[in-house]
Amino acid sequence: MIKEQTIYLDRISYNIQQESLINENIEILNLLITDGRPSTECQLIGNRFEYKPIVWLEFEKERVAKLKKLNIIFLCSQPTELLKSSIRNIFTSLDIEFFNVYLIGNYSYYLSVQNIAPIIENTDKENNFYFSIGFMRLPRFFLVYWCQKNNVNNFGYPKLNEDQLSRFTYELNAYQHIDTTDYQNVGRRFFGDIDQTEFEKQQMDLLLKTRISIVSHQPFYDYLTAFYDQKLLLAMSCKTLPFFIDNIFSNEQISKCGFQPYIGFDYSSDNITNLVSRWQTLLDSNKKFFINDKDSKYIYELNRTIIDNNYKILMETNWKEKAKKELLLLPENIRNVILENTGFK
Amino acid sequence: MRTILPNTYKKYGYKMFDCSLDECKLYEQECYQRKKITMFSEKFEYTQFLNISDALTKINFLFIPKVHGDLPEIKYSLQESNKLLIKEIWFYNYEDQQLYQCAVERAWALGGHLDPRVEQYYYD
Repeated sequence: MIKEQTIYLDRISYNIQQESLINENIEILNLLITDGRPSTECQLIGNRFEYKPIVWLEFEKERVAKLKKLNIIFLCSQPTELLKSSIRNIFTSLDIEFFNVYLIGNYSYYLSVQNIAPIIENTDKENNFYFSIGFMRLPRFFLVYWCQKNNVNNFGYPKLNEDQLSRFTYELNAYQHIDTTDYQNVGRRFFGDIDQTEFEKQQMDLLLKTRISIVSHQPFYDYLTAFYDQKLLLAMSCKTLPFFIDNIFSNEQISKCGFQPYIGFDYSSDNITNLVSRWQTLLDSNKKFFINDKDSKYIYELNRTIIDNNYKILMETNWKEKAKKELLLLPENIRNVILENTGFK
Repeated sequence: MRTILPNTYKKYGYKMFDCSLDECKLYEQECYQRKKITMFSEKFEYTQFLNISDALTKINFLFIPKVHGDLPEIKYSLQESNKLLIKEIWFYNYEDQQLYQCAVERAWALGGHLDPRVEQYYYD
């Protein structure tokens, strides 16, 4: 009998003072990963962003190296070559397989957005640009800083406490010696102190009036791509044109979920390895669309058919069924690991 | 005889909130849900440590790898009625600074370099 163990990494805490999460004498280890939880997000270590599951695998090197097989299964994203090679380089003689699907881990977001999406009678838009940040992350911090520097307005963001502010300032400085000490930590909340569900409902009016909305998901710093949640879906549901300051190749990767990539924005900076340079170039090279009415209207009209089409796909697809079809494409053993450990039926 | 490099000097301060881990997590979740700034110091009092040894036990410094935590020369002291632990460090080699910092950050990645109730202060 082969000894097999599955660990759903999103649901655990790494407690390095307790005994290993990997049982003794295990031959096959399956790792399930969905979101960017405290155990499955990235963190700056030295001057590099590292993916915590890789840091943990390295910490557990001795036990992992004894395995016969390691399966790593991503439930709503796609691992990049950087992620795969980083793990393979640690365990050069271990049999490692990567599996991924795009919807099983997050199809519920699609269903909830279908439920709250407005009925759109016309798409007359008043504003060029809008976004609202609830929880600050490094790319969003950089985005807000860039907007402050470039006098780009109409966005919401939280006021940060001293710890958060010093962390983002430190990270940008450690990664690329960028001085953001003149960041204006004022904060702007469009609807005051309300919870996320209520905010998403109230935000609809603002999205409906907006041509371009910024989409910035949990950052996986080139380890994962094709990771989407309600940030993209809410933008789509109000027929805005999403602009991604996001994980690598986010625009073209929406095709993996059945959507059509948008056109006209300059995403060539996705090829820049340095992340901060990438964000800077991405924003600089598309600035005209955010600040000029004419350019904003132009790119919106350029995408109108795609916007309408993606709205239709979002609203008319049976996402649960689509997720089930993804499951059938996986090998039976991996399918069973998902069914037995995630609650997906 | 190893020589300390004076220009590698760094000073850190640590205070710990006087609450349970559950109370701390609950407060964090409430703030996250409402997208509010966490202000632990307004919600909880600070722990008064008995002595340096008590502070070190409670604060619980972790490093990965562990040996990198011992790279610097370290001096501890208590201030503010034993509510603030001061840690001053000096290195013997310049390269050790980076190794030490990475050992701290790797420990953060895997659950924390410090007890979650600890607030760290920097003195640059």
